[in-house]
Formats: sequence, C-alpha cells, structure tokens
Amino acid sequence: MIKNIKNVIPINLKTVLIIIFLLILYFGPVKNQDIIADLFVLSFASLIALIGILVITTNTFILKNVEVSISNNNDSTTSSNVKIPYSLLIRNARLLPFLKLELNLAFNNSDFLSPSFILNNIGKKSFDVIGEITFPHRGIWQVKHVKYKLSDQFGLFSKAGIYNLKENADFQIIIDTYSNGNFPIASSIEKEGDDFESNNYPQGDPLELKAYHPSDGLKKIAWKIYARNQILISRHPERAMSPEGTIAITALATKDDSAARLSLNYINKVTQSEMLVNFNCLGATKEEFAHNFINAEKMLINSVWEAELSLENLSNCLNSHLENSKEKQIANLVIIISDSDCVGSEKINLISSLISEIKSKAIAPIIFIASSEEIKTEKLSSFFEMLSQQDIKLHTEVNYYE
Amino acid sequence: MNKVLHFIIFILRICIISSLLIFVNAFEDIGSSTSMLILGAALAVFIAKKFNNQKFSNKFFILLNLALPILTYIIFYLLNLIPFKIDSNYTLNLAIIENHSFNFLGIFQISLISSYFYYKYFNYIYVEMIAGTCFFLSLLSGHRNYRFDLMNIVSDLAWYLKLEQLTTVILIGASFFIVVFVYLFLSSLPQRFKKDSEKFYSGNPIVSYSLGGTCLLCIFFFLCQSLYNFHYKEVQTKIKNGVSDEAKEGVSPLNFHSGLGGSSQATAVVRLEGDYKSNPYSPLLYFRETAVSNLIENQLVIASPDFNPDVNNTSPLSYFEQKNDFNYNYREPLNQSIFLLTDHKIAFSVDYPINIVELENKNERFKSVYRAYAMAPTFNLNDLKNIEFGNPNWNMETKEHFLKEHPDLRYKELAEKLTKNNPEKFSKIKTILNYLTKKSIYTLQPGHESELQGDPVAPYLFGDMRGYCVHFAHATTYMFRALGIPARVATGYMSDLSQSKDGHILLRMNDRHAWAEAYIKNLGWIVFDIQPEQVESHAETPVDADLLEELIDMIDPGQELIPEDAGKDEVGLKDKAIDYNISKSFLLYFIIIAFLLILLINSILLNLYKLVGNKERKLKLFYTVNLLKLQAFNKKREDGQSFKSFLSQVSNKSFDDIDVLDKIYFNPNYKLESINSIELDKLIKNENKKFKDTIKAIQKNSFIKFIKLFFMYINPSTSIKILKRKV
Repeated sequence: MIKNIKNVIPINLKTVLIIIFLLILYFGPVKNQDIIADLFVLSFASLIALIGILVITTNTFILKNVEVSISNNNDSTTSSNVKIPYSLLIRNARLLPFLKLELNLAFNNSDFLSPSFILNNIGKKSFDVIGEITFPHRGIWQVKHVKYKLSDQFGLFSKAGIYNLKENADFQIIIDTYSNGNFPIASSIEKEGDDFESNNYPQGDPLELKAYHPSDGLKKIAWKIYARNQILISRHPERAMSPEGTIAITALATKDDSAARLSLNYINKVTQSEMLVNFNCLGATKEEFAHNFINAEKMLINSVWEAELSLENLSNCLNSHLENSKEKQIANLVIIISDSDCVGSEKINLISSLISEIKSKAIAPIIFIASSEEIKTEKLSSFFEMLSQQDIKLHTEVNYYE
Repeated sequence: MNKVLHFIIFILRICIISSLLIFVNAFEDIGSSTSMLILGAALAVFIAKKFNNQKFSNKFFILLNLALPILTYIIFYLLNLIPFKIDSNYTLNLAIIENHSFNFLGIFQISLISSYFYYKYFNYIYVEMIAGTCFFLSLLSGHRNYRFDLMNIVSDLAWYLKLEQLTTVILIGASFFIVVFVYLFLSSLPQRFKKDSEKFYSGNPIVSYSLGGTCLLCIFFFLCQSLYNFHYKEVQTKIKNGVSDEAKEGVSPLNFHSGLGGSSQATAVVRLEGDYKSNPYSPLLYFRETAVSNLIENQLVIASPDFNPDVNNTSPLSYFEQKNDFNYNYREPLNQSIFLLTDHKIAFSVDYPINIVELENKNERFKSVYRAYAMAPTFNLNDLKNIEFGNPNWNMETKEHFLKEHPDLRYKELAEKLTKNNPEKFSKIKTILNYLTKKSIYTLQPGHESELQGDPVAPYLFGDMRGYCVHFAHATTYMFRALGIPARVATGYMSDLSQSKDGHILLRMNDRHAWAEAYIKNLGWIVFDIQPEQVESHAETPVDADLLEELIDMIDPGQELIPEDAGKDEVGLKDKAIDYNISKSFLLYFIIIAFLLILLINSILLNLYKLVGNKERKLKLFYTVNLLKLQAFNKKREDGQSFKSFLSQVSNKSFDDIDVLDKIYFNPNYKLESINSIELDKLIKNENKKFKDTIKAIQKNSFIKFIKLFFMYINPSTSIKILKRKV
C-alpha cells in the first residue's frame, strides 16, 4: 500500500512529518486566527505541493527522454584501488531549479555502485561529465545500467529509476603485482633434503664444485670450504635442462585481491626458478589450470565473480589437482589465502575441513596468508589455533603497503 | 564556491540567532547585554563548526554540554561560600556576574548544540525549522484573534511603516517565511553535503535560481494578498466593532457577534481642557458617539436625526453646531480636544455637543484632531426629587418612538414583576438596574450564536444571563420602555478617569461601550449603566502609561494645560536602578577567578584522556597532553616532523607505540585494532612514566619545573591545543 502511494507520489517520511506539523498548526493556531501561522502553513503547503508537482512532472515527462552513454577514457587496464576516469554523456536532461539528479553506475554481478554524479540547474540539451571510479577488486566490470534518483534539493520528494545503456561498457580491472617478496619454494614432489628454507640461502650441489681457477672470479669461491680446509674451491652451477620440480598452487582468492596478488607474485618467482606450476583458484572450472603468470592472471580475473569460499569450490580446487597429477603423487600443496578469509568460524571450519581432506590424501598443505597491511595476529588467533591443531606450517607475507 | 557558501551560511546563522535574541529581548528582557549574548551565540556557531571538523563523538559533545553549566554552577556556589568579603557589594556584584554568566552560557549552549547538529546532519535543519517556527509563533501568538494591539512590536512597526496592523502582521509573517526559506535553501544546496568522491555538475545557477525564485516570489505574493483579503473582512467585523462604520439610519453599529472592545488598541487621546470635578458618574466618563432608538422588529437601529437632535452623527472632519435649543440645567461647558489614532466616521464627545471643530493635525501619528465644546452633566441623581421622565415638548411621534416596546412580552412581564412593589418610576429604574447588576454575568463570548437571526437579547435576559454591555444596554432599554420610561441605547466610549494623566485620557478599543439612557425632564438624556457583579471574562487591561506619555509628548506643547506642580508626584517614583558599576577590587578578584577557571578547565582537559573510551582518541589525547608538557620545556616538534624522530631527539627512552601515533595522526581513519583497552591502559601507564622521566631529565630543578608546568596549566591556549589535538 505504502509502496503504491510512493509510486504515485514520491513522498519521503520527512515530508509526511512536515505535513503533520503543518496540520497541527492549521488545526491549532490557524483556527485561532493566527495570521502568521496561517501564512506559514499556506506558504509551506504550497511549496511542498509545488515541489511535489515539479518532481513528478520532471520524472514523467523530462527524464523519460534522457539518454546516457559511457566512454571509458582509460585504454589500458587498471588495477583495483586506483581511480579510473570515465565520462558520462547525458542528453535531454533538463532540470528545473531546486531539483537535483543523482546518477550512479550499477554493475553486473555486484552491488557495487560508482560514486554519484550530482546534477542540478541543467538547461543544456547535452553535456558530458567526467567521473572517477575506484573498483574494490579485480574482474571485468560490466555496466548493467545507470541508476538515477531525482529529488528536490530540500529532500522532500524523491523518485528513483534506471536508464539502460545503448552500448555496453566495461572496465577491466587487473591485479597489481610487486617485485619484492620472500617466498619458500616447495616442490609438490618431495625429495629427501628439500626444505622450506628461504631461497636466499640456496644449498649447493657437491657435484657442481670444482677446483678454483683464477678466471672463475672471487664470487664463485666457496669461502666456507676455504675457511675449513684452506683449499680454494669454486662453484659452477649448471642450468637444468628440464624443470626442477612441479609446484601445485591453489589460490583461495575471493573478492579480496591480496591472495590473488600474492599468488601471481609467487608464480612469478617460481617460474623464474625453472619450476613448473600447476595453478588453480576458487571459481575456476575443474579442468582449468594455469602454468604461467599470464594464464594465472586471466584465471584469477575471470573467476572472481564465482570466487566464493564454499565447500564445493574448495573440493573442486583440491580434486582438480588430484586428478591432474594422477601419475605423480603430490607431496605438497601451496594454499594461498587472504587474511580477511581467515576470520570467522564458518570460514575457518571450511578451511579446516579442506586441510583435513588434503591431509587424508597424504598431501602436506603449506598455507600462505596474504594481507594488504600488517597482519593482525590477534585477529587471526582462531585461525592459527586451527592450524596448530592440524600441525601446519605457515608463511605469512604482507604484500601491499599503502 | 563551497567556501563562500559555508561562509554565507555561517554569517546567516549568526544573523538568525542574533535577530531571535533581539526579538526575545524585545518581548522579555533577558537581563544581559544583547551584544554580549550575540557574541556568545556567534562564538558557539564558530566552535560548533570547528567541532564538526574535528569529528567529535556525540557522546563526548553531550557530556561537555552537561558539564559546562554544572561547572559554572559549582564555581559560583564556591564563590558564594568564601567567608571573607573583599568588597561591600561583593554579593550583589557576584549575583550580577552569575546572572550574566548563566545568560551567556545558556545562549552559548543553545547555539552550540543547535549549530553542532546543524553542521553534522542534513535533516537537522527541519528540526530547527519546526522548533524555530513554534518558537516564533509562540512569541507572536499575542496577535491571535486579531488582538494586534497586544503586540507592541506590531503596533510600533505599523506606526513606523505607516501601515495597517493587518498588513504589518502579514509583513512580519512573510519576512519570517522568506528568512526560513532562504536559510533552508542555502542549507540544503547539494554542494554542502557533497562527499569528496561525488562529482557535482551544475548549469548556470544564477539564471536558474533567479527564474525559480521569481516564480516562487510571485506565488508567495499572491498568497499574501489572498490572505490579506481573507482576514480583512474578519478584521472589519470583529475588530473595529463599528468604530469606523457610518451612522446610517435604519442600521445598528452594534453587533452581537463578539463583545465590544475586545482589544486594547489605542484609538484616541482626549484632553479635557479644564477640570470636570462635578462629573456625576465619576470616576467614569461617557463619550457618546451615536444612539440607537428606533425599534424595528426586535432590534434597535439608528433613528432619524429628528428624534435624537443631541446626537451629532457627524464626521470628525466636518463642522457641527447644535441648532436646537436645549435646557442646560445641571450642566456645565466642557471643552475637549480629541486626537484620533484610528479612523472614526463619527465624532464623539462627552454628552451634549454644542459644536465640533476640526483642528490642525500637527503630528502624523494622529489621524485627525477635533475640538468638541459640550455641555456635560453636573447633577447628582440622588439629590434630585420628583423626577419625571420624558420631554413635555416632544410630539406624540417622538414620545411613541422612545416608548415603543419590544414585541416580546416577556420583557414587560419581567419588568413589571421586578417593580411591582415600586410605585415610583425612579425606584423602578433602580430595581431593574440592581437586578441586572446582580444577576448578569459579564462575558465577551456569551455563546448565543444560534439566536443570531432572532432577538439576541432574549437568550441573555431569559436565559443564562451571560452577556456584555450591548446585551445589558438593550435589556435595560426594553424594560424601561415596558415601564413607560423613554429610553434608548447609546454607544461610544466609557473611560476610567483614574487612569488619565494630566487631563489626558487614552481611549482604547476595549473602552468601546454601549449603555442605556433614559430621558429625565429638565435634565435630558441620562446614562443608566450597569456593572455586573459576576465577571466571567474581562477585557479590561490597564492603560499603557508609556504610550499615553508618548502621545502626550506628541500633542502640541503650546496647548499644554498642565499645572505647574504636576511633576511633583513623580519625584522618587522612578525605579531605583541597580548600580552596575563594578568596583576595581572586584574586577581584580574576578580576573583571579577567571584564572582559576582556566586552571580548572585545563586540568580537566589535561586528564580527559583517562575518561575517553575510544582507543585512538585516548592515545592521541594522551600523547597530545605529554607533548604539550614537553612544549612547556621548549621542546617543540617541528612542523611535519614525525613523533618518532621528535621523541628520539628529546629523550633517550624508547617510546613503544610512537609508530602507531604517527599513523593515527597522519591517517585519521587508522584503527587501533592490534591492542585492547586493558593493554592500552597498561601501555599508557608505562609511557607516562617515560614522559615523566624525560621531563625530569630536561629540567632537574623541581621548582622551575613546577613553575613551567603551572604556566601551562593557566594558559588558555592549552585547552584549545588539546581540543584541536595538534601540538
């Protein structure tokens, strides 16, 4: 009933209260020949009526003809949390005084709305306005429609609606990566002597050691050996002809980009170490795998709308790894998750069940927690407790400082 | 644009609050200097704006506002308790300052609270609008039911602008609405509440708003005009009460819609040129304007001038001379100068006017001035013997005219029933007057509206006996006539001479009166008025002495007839004004008090961090306080210098959470989530100790340390720095 009334008369609660106040004045002071109250009631009632008529008329007759189109000025792709300029071309939007029009872009798959454009006193037939938008996460953001809210500037009446765009418009938001990072690399096929120590201190292969020759250069000398035995030995590491190992990575990257960012950096680092990557993420299809940076990035961008932390998605990720490596037994599985997904009992239980399942398949999960800022240990205490119960090693990485 | 808009709103807000203050002060003296209060209000608006920028929590703001009056009260309470008296007028001076302080604080706080919410919430403007409207309407509620005269502001403004009072009231209302609208318009401009992320695009606002404004103004003007037309008719019937109606034959200037003289609006000043000590009705004085004697159906209307030759029925602007020969026994000449303040269609005077001459009007305040030379009665009715009614010279038609009885026989029945034991006509008159005086209930609203078409007097006399002078006069006349006494109803003014000043009488709307008159042989028309013993509603209000004095001053001084010793009575009557000159010693004492007050406020603010619940705010306040203390020892942070580098420069101690402080300072949105409240308290305790040690290291001499800290405590800027939390 109220909705029906609101459809015809776009009245607000505030207006109703003011009308009640005017009625009180009318049946009180005005009935006692209070001329000032009479004038006030009459003037304000007329103003409310006039503004109501203006809003209804403008909405019915003027805003019907409005056309809105968007042009994305940014040719190259941009990452989230970066302002992207775009222009909005508006035709046939004439606004009478005291009225304002608020426009927002609405997108498919998301409730996210762009910051408002507020227009008033428009007399021109067509004009364009430049706006900026900062998307909260990666993905291809397709503009669904333009939401409008016509109201008077006093906030007495308002009418909302949508304009459909004639041409589709979208914004591609990528994941920004960074070069620093200190990751342990764990092959999925465990060999004796493998360790999760940092790659800053690589262990030497004895077969690569040769007697020192002056042409070798000082940097190649194994000084520890010299210190012990007073023999100059130099290292001659050789590049492997085939990849050194395979790394299985699952990015539990939800709409928080930090896990996706860390995943890409990790892949970058791993591929530089001549290792093969088997990467999949939440929301990706079961068969889909990425083996390099570019494919992983694509996968992370395309899968974002389905990337929910659910039991089904988690099982998909694990099973696809198992199916993919039927011939070789996976020893380690790197799981990358953002700190925001490690909070809350429901999420923790989901991850815990995933870990249990992984462990039941005789695979050692290695958890990376990604955060866009300093990791708050007290916030993640429940998660850490769960990990310690499961006897899991943990590596935390802050991958983004503002 | 935004800055200009904010500045305009800021100024407009101060102006509105100031005009409200002036307005309130005009109605009820606040007791303090208006400029001081305006200063307080302006200061509050400024502080509220600053508070809003600082993003204080509402809880803190409310606590602060509660604390202020309590604090002030405590201070004055303590001052009152001080046993020694430094000044003989100590208590009086303190009471004056206390009064001023509370007035100042009251206005300051009202302004502060309203402005704080105004800057914070968009919809608050409507709360303010509704509250302001109610307040304004209650201030001007005196004019309801067209009682414009009760509002000095309306009368004064009408006088100053030379406008009708109705127009003036509409003008006040229109100005009020325009101010409200402009304020509402400026406050609700989309630019005001625009978020940083939002984009604002406006066409040409000047053209658009000019057009819109003009349209609104036209509609508004039309509304005002319609309102004026609507109320004008009502004003004519309800307020003027026939004062400005012409005396047309066959109609009655009296009406029974409402009581005569419902308002105390001044209508004329009468100056009696000479003593009138033998006034038989003293202290009352009757000014006759016209008389109704022709009974048509059940109403008395104005008769042909031949029947009432003593009644002039002429305009104050025209010359009148009595051409009929009257017997002026027991009468004396009385000259009256009448200065009309409102339009009168008929000149009035005390009893039989001999001539009426228009005088030169030397002051614009008066509508017209005339002089009436009349023969005023001097007899005493109680002294008269063998009274006979009627004029032997009257012809039959005149005799019948004044004896024509009301067709309703109940008048006769009642009159005869009341007077059956009185053989004499004069005693019959007395009996009827006694009866009416005792039984009648005076009310301006008898509520006999349903009888409008019939006889309006019958519901009074044969009903609840509730009525006003018009009812009494008619009832008396009808009963007199039923007893064979020639009678009529006269209308004009009745004034109480005890309220006159130096022979000047101020006549007002509520002095309008109707009374019965009977014709006594050799004396002429004599007033027989009743004053009911029971009064339900009373229109009588004391004469505005200030207005009368003001009007007396306007009367041509060359014509003044004030006795030389008239001023003597006024000596010593002036109110003893309170001596507001405060002694020097008291001022000195007050300065000390001010210092103590600052000390108290600073002490509270310097320890405020202990009470604050918000972790970020608490930490920030704590560091601010300690940095201020360091500042007292000339250890000042450079602009833009991080706290970490500043403190490492000042002290050799390590301040654990100083990184966090830098983040809190430079990023207002920073949330301190890595620490809980208990841990924070512990941290603050530790850090406090380190600060104390640092200060100790800087200044080893404890006396100098105390002095420096004391100066910090009595420095007014300390509070401001803490509130701004920027050191």
